[in-house]
Amino acid sequence: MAAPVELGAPNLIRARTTGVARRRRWRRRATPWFFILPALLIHVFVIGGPSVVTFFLSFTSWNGFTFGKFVGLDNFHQLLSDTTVRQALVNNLTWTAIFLTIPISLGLGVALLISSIRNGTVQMIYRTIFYLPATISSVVVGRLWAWIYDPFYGISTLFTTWGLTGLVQSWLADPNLALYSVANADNWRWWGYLMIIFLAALHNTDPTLHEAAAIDGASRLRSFWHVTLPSLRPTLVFIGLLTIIWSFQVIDLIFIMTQGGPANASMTLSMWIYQQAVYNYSPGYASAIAVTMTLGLSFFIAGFVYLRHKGWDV
Amino acid sequence: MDEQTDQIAQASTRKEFLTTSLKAGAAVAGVAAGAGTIESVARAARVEARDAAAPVTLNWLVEFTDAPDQKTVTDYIIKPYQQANPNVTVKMQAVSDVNKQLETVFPAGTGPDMWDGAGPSFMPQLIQSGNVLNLEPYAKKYGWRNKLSSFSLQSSLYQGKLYYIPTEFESLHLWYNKTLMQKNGWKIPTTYNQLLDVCAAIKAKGLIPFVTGMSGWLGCWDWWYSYFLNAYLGTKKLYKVLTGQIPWTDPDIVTSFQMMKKLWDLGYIMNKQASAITGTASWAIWGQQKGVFRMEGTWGFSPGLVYANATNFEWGIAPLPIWKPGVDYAPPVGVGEVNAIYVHSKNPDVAADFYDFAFFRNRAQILKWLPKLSSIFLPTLKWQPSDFGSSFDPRLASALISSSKAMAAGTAGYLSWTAWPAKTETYMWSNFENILYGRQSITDYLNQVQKIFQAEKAAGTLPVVPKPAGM
Repeated sequence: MAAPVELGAPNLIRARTTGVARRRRWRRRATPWFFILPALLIHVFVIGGPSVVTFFLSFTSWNGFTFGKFVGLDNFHQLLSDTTVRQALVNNLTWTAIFLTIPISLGLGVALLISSIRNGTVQMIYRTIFYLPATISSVVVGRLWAWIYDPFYGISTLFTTWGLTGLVQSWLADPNLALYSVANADNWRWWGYLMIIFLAALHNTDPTLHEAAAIDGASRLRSFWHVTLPSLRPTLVFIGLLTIIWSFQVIDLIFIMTQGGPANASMTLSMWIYQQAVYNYSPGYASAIAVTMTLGLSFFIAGFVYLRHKGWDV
Repeated sequence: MDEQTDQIAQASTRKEFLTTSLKAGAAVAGVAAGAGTIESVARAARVEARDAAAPVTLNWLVEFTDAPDQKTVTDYIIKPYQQANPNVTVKMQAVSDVNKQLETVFPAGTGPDMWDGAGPSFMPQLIQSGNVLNLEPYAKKYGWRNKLSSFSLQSSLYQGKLYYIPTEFESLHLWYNKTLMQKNGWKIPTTYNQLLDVCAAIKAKGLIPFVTGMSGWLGCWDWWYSYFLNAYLGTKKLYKVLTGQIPWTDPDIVTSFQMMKKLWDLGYIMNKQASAITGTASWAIWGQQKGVFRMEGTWGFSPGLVYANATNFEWGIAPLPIWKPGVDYAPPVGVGEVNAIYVHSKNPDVAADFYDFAFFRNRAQILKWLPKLSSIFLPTLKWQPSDFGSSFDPRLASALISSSKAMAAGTAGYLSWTAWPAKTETYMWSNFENILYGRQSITDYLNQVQKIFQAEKAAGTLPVVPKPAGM
């Protein structure tokens, strides 16, 4: 049996000090968790809980009312042979390509132009005008553009009056145009929002870098390419990532303007998930599509996290 | 409150007073015999009186979200009932899609006492989930079976029992602009070939033959296949298809879809712009006389009258043309809305009494709100010409009487949302444009329909299809 250890005064002081330090360390580490706890709890119950349930539902034949039986991977097999899922996936990829290019280019281009305006009031007026569509609700934007595209009263009748018959199109009734018409409406209200983000990022750019480039004789284009763009890289990558995620979630304007039609030409995965869950009484199958979509998007998020982990400034 | 409503309220109050008095009297007698004390007798009477007047709140989930419709229902149905039953409060909650709401509240065990939802196609799954109250005892108590037409009664049965009340009878007709037809000397088509001819003449005049709009709800395509399947197959053959005796891949069905596609390809249906127009906008276009026909149901009477009166032109309704000579075509009819009671409702008796008051008890009262709510409630009672006064719109009265007779005689056709199973119906409307735009072959589409139909038949979710006479 080991002899009892007697604590001398120095040891006692050290032990007390260690205890206090430990408590302090613990408090320092725990405090942020307490601050974040309310948000974390909401996230666990509102996002985490339904996500877990959705995952389990994807393996069932649940019809929304009667809890279905376990069907293994049947829903995922069905998904592979579902032609509408394929069509929706192509549409989502097209949508992503559109929104990774047009609104980002437009937002960045206009942000550069506006940032060069020295008069603060004029700059604010431009910023307000271009940002205004972003404040309008999806329902209003959808109805507004549906009226603009109306074949009997909309812009096509105006083109006819002006003799521009080549521009008269069935904007929402032509399967080859419907998706692009809706994307155009969404872009109208979206690019102004991106412009504001780019403007904020531009204001954070170190002006001495531009001055140095100018002293070195760099043209405006070279200055943009070698100074502005690298400093915007984190913003661009972040917007790109969000654009990819949001492009796969798109449903609001599609729902309001075309319901995924004509002939599923503007169908997106989210719209199809909604149709399957609500109209076709197949939330089990809809969950399988949602889980697959989430897994697909996880690759992009994982890539983003990997780059940050590797020290990339994104 | 008008005189009629007042009478109903007074009658119900008197009835309630008598019932309460009798109950209290019985309690008094019973208790007096057992205990013989005045105090206990008085206590029992107080308990009975309190129970009779216990406040009851009924939550009624409804699908109509327009404020004028809600006001009519409140003024003509809810308020008179509450006046007749002061202890009852009916709280109406409107949502755009009741079934979607039910999908959330049923699993949570918080369903409304009553709901007004989509037609019989969608009920078997709800009933199988165990959330719908069997209304048979109330049907017996109030005599509902005798008051309903045989067609709508059959449509409302599940395994021989009444689970929901058919509250919106619907039938499809050819709506036409009489003014334009007379002005141009066009005749109402009765066959497919006549339909093609008159549509060609209308289009040549720069008008739209059929005005319609789908962008708000693609599901409205089911009006079209409900129509042409009846018009080409006839009632008896369609009955066999809907009960699984004939497959959906039958050559006659293929032909009927080909004929429909021909109408579309020729631009006779909204100049191929149906996907860009909402149903409401299409009414405005019809009201402005840019088109001649509508393939429309009884639910269209309210907007029809509004738009026609606004621009002052004559319009009428006629039977839809037959697509195959000699076929036993009957106008498609169905049940668009049903009302049911939640199995866990705390007040099912009061809910059933409210339904009886609203949809059965007093025909005179129903006829007051019926023209105002023809796109919401249209009870499938056995209507007679004598029910309708001269102030009643003759077109609506004629549609009600003729379809009522057809339903009673077993000579009515079928509407998809009444006689099709839910998933088959959803697949058909959500992919119908694929055929019109040539993005899916008719054969492939019908093969898919057959596959889904077979699965639903195996799952026991086929709705009851009323048998035609002579089968």
